[in-house]
Amino acid sequence: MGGSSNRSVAQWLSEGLTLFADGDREAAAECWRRVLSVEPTHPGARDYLRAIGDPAGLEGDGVEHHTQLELRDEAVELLSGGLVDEAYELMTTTGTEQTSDLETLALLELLRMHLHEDVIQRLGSSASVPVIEMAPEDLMKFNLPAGAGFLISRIDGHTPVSDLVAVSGMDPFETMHTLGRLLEAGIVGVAE
Amino acid sequence: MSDALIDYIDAPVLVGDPQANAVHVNPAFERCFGVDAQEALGMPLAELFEGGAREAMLVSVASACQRGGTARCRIRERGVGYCVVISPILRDGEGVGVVVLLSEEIEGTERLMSLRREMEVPIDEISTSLETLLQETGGRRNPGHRARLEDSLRSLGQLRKHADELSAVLVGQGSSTRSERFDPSGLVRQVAESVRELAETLGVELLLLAPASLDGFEGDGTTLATALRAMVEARLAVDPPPARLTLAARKLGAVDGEALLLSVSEKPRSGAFSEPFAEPGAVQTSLAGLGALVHGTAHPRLGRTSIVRLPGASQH
Repeated sequence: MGGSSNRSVAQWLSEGLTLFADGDREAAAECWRRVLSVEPTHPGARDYLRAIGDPAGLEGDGVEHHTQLELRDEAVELLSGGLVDEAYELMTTTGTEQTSDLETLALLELLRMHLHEDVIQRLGSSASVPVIEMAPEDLMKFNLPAGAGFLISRIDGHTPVSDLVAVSGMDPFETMHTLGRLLEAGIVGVAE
Repeated sequence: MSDALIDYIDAPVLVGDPQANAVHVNPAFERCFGVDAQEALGMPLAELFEGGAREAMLVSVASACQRGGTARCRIRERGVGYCVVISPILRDGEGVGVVVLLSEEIEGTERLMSLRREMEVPIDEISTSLETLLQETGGRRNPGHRARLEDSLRSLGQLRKHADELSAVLVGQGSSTRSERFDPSGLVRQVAESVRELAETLGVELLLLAPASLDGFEGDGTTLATALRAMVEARLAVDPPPARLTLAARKLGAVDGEALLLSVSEKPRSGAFSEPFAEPGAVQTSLAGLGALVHGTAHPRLGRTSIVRLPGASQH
């Protein structure tokens, strides 16, 4: 990178991306830090640096980032004990899912995939038809969140899971995750 | 005898009511999809398709009906790929039905490239003939002939330009980064459909996790789709391939604006992945050109994933 001090902000950003793609994260970070030396609040450079956990991109939210890393480590600990659902809860209820940190996002994505697949396996397939296993008066005993209540209202004993996800209008992962919880609670079952 | 014009066109067409139940099935659809029009009437449009095509149609038809705008998807039925355009029928702004037009996709880029090359010779020959005619006759003797020949040469120049653009697109050299509105959910579905047959052949379960649509994204969706497809194909080329592949798309709320997150996640056939998948260099380069960061991770219990984080792609 020597002798290239006349490069524009766009060129430094682009050079950083190329170096990142080549696996040289430190050199990429150096390019993006150069952008910040010219434009200290450049959102693109800050975003990239934050994504790789570089301190220059964390100005103002360094403590928050540190906390998020601790939570990620804690989630990994839970995972090593087989507590997948608990690890997901920990990362989502603490706002960690709002992070830009790539490793945290990747772990969260793995958790989502695992939980999604787990619900499909428990249902049999996405063509399975969920049914309500309880009388309406028994349902009232549960303090169900709005999303779960809405989903229950869509379950008619004829609509397969794949269609339910499509017609619910909810985020597909959230739909499946909620369905998984309803299965666990015995509120929902699968039609024979 | 039918008096509907769509019964006389060669492309499969369906017409649905406001609830997206079939009210008209043209003979081309009957022929291509092996469906009896009378039996199909009243059935939900999506149920006239099978497997992944059914899922794609369900989502796209629902999207067209709910949003009142045109939806598009690609499907494969009976070994034939179709581009599907689903348009709502509006009366006084109210949706009163939906039209589904399916056009057969031409198989393979190679075939398109070959056609492009075959176009070159006749274009050159026509050009030479017109210029000769202009010089030998039209130019000197008849101003009317000259004007028409010059018009023809201009049109031919335009045709040559479009053919060159087609070549550039086919070899991935279109204008370096195109900016267009694109739906990441549709993009992920399109990639999944394009590899579904191969995945099935290899015994890989292919899952999709994306909302019906993700509005408001702008960028080079074509390059993004090509890169994502290359990521999936690279995983399917590994021996043994993974037991399961999940393609996902979602919107992230970031501090400095919304970002797009795409991911390709794998579950092993046995044991555990010891490290993230090494993405092909060409994929890394092409995604870097879009401003995207690619990152992979592996976990002994959860499998492995590669995420593509594209900041600032949302225009909302």
